[in-house]
Formats: sequence, C-alpha cells, structure tokens
Amino acid sequence: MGRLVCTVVILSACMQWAVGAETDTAYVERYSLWRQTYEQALQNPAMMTQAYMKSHTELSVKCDYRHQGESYRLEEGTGFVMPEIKADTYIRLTGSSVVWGEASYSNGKHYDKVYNNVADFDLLYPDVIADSIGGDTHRERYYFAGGYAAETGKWRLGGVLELRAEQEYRTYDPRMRSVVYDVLLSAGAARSIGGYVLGLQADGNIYRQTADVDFYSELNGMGELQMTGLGTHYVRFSGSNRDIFYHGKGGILSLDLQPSGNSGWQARLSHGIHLYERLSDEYNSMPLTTLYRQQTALTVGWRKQSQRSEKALLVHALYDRRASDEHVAGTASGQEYPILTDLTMYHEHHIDAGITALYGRGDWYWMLKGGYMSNRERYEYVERKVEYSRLYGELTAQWLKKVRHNLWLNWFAKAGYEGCISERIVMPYANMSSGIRNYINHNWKYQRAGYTQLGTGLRADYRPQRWRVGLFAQVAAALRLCSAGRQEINLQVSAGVTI
Amino acid sequence: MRKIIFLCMMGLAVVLCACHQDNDDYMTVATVHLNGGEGIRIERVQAMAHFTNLNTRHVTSTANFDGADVQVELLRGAYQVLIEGILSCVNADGVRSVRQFRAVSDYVELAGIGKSQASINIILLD
Repeated sequence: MGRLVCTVVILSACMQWAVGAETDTAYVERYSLWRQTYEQALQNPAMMTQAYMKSHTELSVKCDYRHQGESYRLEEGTGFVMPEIKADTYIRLTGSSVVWGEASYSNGKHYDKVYNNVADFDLLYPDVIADSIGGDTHRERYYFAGGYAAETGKWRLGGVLELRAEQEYRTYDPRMRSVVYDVLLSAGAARSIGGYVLGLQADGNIYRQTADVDFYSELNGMGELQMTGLGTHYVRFSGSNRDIFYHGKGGILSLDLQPSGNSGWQARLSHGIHLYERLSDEYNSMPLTTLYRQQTALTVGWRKQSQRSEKALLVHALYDRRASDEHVAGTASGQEYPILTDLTMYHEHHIDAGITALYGRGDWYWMLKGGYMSNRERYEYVERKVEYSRLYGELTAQWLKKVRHNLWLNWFAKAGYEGCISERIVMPYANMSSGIRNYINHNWKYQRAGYTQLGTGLRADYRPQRWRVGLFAQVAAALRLCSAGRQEINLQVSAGVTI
Repeated sequence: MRKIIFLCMMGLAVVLCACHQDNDDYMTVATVHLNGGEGIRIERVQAMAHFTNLNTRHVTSTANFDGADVQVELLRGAYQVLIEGILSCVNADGVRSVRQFRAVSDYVELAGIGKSQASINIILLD
C-alpha cells in the first residue's frame, strides 16, 4: 500500500511537472520574440489551427499615451491618450478545430490635428477634408472579430469576420464628425505537402465613412479644403461644401508556405487592392476623388528551432502605391454634375525592404533588423514632389523567464536609428499661400530628419497553481529622439486577467 | 498538387493584373476660336487670353494668336476664359478697321484627349 501511495505521489508530481512544462511552452510561444517569425502566416485563418498549443483567454485594461513636442506630421497631431478594455480568446474545441475572437472598446482623445478633419487618415490620405485651424478630437472605437478553423485530413480551412465601428468628433469649431464602419471577411485554406503547409487566403473589405464639419459661431464660417495631395485642394468644391462620405472596397490575396514543424523555409506573398471614393453629400453624391491603393508584400526566410536554440533569418520587401484620381466635373444641370474626365493627379510610391535576424537561447532572445525605406510623392500639375529615403537599424533584446513557480517575467529593450540618406522637394512656392507653405515645410522638416529610438518594457504574470485565473501587469515606455529637435514619448500601461 | 499550385499562381496573377490604370493624359492642346458675329471677319488679333481652370483656379495666359484662333496647352478640364485686346477685322462692306474687343465665357470644356476646340463670341468696345 505504501509503495502504491508513493508511486501515485511520484506520478502526480511528474504529471504536474509535465502540465507545468506545457504551460511554460504555451507562455513562451505566445509572448516571445520567436513568434514574429511566423506571425504573418497567422493572418491566414486556416493556419490558426496550429497557432497555439493551449486555449487561452485574456481580459485586459490598457492605456496608450503618446506625446510629441511638435507634431511630426501635422495631420496626425501631437499625440493621443487612448484607454481600452479588451477581451481576447483562443479556444481549442477539439484536437482539430479552434475558435478565436476579440472584442475591444476604446475611448480617448487625440491632440492638435491640423489639416485633417476625417478619421482613418492613414487609409485615406491625401483625399481628406481639412482646414488650418484643427484642434483636439475625441475618438471612440468598437472592434469585434471572430474566427473558426478546422483540420480535415491534409487540409486546413478557416474564416474570420472583423467589424470596426468608430467615431471621431470635435466639440468646438471646426466641429468635425466622422463615423466609420469597416467590415473585413477573410477565408483561408491550407494543405500539407511533405514537410510543408501551403496556404491561400482571400480577404474582402467594405468601408464606409461619413464626415462633416460644422461651425456654430457666426464668426467662424470659414471654408473647408477638399485636399488632393501635397497641399493642393479641389478649389471648385471647397469652401461651403463640408459634408462628404467615403465608399471603399478592396481585397487581398495571399500565398503562404510554412514548415509543418519548427524548422524549414518559409515564404509569404500578398497582393492587395483597395479603393476609396470621396463623394460630396451636398452635390447629389458627386464623386470628387477616388484613391486607389495597391500593396504587394513578400517575405522569404528560414528558421530553425531546436532544444538548445532558435535561429531565424527573414528578408522582407513591401511596395505600397497610392494613386488618386480627380473627377473633373462639368457644368451643373438640375443638381447633377457630369464628370468630364478623370485625371490621376497624385501618386505615392513607398518601398520598404530589409532583413531580420533572430536568435534565441535559454531565456534570451535577440533580434536585429535593418533595411531601406523610400517614399516618393508627386502631384502632376502644377508639379509638386516630396521624396526621401532612409536606412534603418534596430536591435531588440528579450528576457523571458519563470522566476518562481507562479511568476513569469517578460522584459524587453530595444534601440534603433533611422537616418535620411536622400531628400528632394519641388514646390511652386511663389504660387502657394503662406498657410499651405508653412504646412508643407513643417512636414518636410520631419520627413528629412533622423530618428533615434529607445524603448523598454516589463510584463509580469502571476498565477498560483491553485488559482483558476492568472493576473498580469505590463508597463512599457519608448522615447524617440528627432534630429530636428523635438522628441516623442510613448507610454503603455496594461493589466488584466488570463484564463 | 501541381494543379493546386498552378491555380494559386493563376489567381495571384489575375489579381496582380487587375491593377488600376492611371489616367495620365493630363494635357490637351486647346484651340479657341473668336467669333466676331455675322458679317465680321477677324484677320489679326493682339490680345491676352487668360484661361482659369475651374477645379484648381490655376490661370494660364497666352498671346499666341493665329488669325482668330488662340492655341495653348492646358490641363484637361473646365475653364473660364477671358480675352481682351485689339483686333483687325473686315466688315460686310469690305471696310477694314482696328477695334478693341473683349470675349468672356464662364464655362468652356477643354477636356479632349490630345486636342480640344471651342468657340466664343466677342463684343467690340468702341
């Protein structure tokens, strides 16, 4: 009897150790830098069947804060404070099927945005409505996503639906209000071939935004500019035409090759096309401009994970092109403006190519990244050009350790530099208003500058073995020093519960 | 398996080819004819023609007259046209005279690919 009890105790201890080791692995796979080697492939919902070993749910409260001494880009403002609550889950239903989901709500404030009175500036520039006054805006965002993936034989199939609703508004003149609905449906399939998995993913996206600007004070009845790129605007429909809306749609097709195990070659090629049409509410839904965006990305690499160490080398290249058509309106007939012709007046070509090396051993991970970035913007007539290119490098270190049986510590630090290697600006300064001239020159000062980046963060996860839930807290800070003189501070604080 | 890879590559090729084609015929050579009215034949013109693009408010000016026609290269679009100066003309009785004139139009479409043509009426000021 004594031997039996002894055996049971030893076996229990071994099982406890095995479960603990599995939990440790699950923690490492979720939070270590190594995850970056295959994170892109997880955009394909079919690949999510093998994303994590164990089910995991996290409820968190987070606050992001950013402050720039002077805005690096006037349209994006000097910073923001964005508190957020978020629930994120990944549940393994059976050995071969998983579901996952995310819901979040954030409500915060952006500071001192000028020459931009719409939400989603990153998506829509240069086709925005703007003025030189600007100011602080309130931003409220709801986000939901849910997906399902299953494995059957050699095939993996998956799908995910993402919904984003957002509003941004200002409570003093100029009173901008933008309401955004963004829906993304993604479907993916993958098949095992030898020691590899070949995946195909198709995304479809529908985008809507209504944007209007009001002035309550009689003295502030100034006009709004329908911007068309590099400080130009659609003069004929600027001024009192302050209600616009955007219709967008697009799709992305991606091809993935990933090793079935932890080692081997990997590749991902994706190509996306999106278009955003800006229409005037006050001129019977007349299209003013259409922005076409094409993105092609290629990542090729090799990774090897063994008991002792982890090594990866990835090469990436991205080409992102924007072209904006201006619809040239004829003379009105019964509130209808015929479109005489379309002219592609604005172009932006963005190239980013680089190499990433990652090495992990024991509790430490090191990542070294370097590359080249080039950005060329051009307005055709009267000619305007802004061109610059940069070289960048970044070193990141991470220390991930279970310091006690119930406490994980995850510390990271990074340092990087990006320096401008070529620059060129062509502007018809003699024919530009002083306001637009200052706006272009302000952004140009920061586009041609060099940036030094320093950052560090610490996350602690506490989970006693008898608890069904764990607790975590995270603090991160980053400083970006600009050679033009002004600095940027980023702070992030989060805390929550893991299940 | 080869079929799957082939279909994937074909799909990707179709998407790559579905890129937006730029509308990059930006300029048009615009010819504006001055119409003197019934019985008046315009022989020579010395005047400044100002073309204001309605969308950009960019103004292009020229004095490049050939007979009663003025020719200028413009961004394709809709324009306001103002021409002021003097002209030499022959009336219905065959009498040649030099007169001051003005020609104005609030809206002229000069949006043809390659070439555009328009005609506007003049008024004599003296």
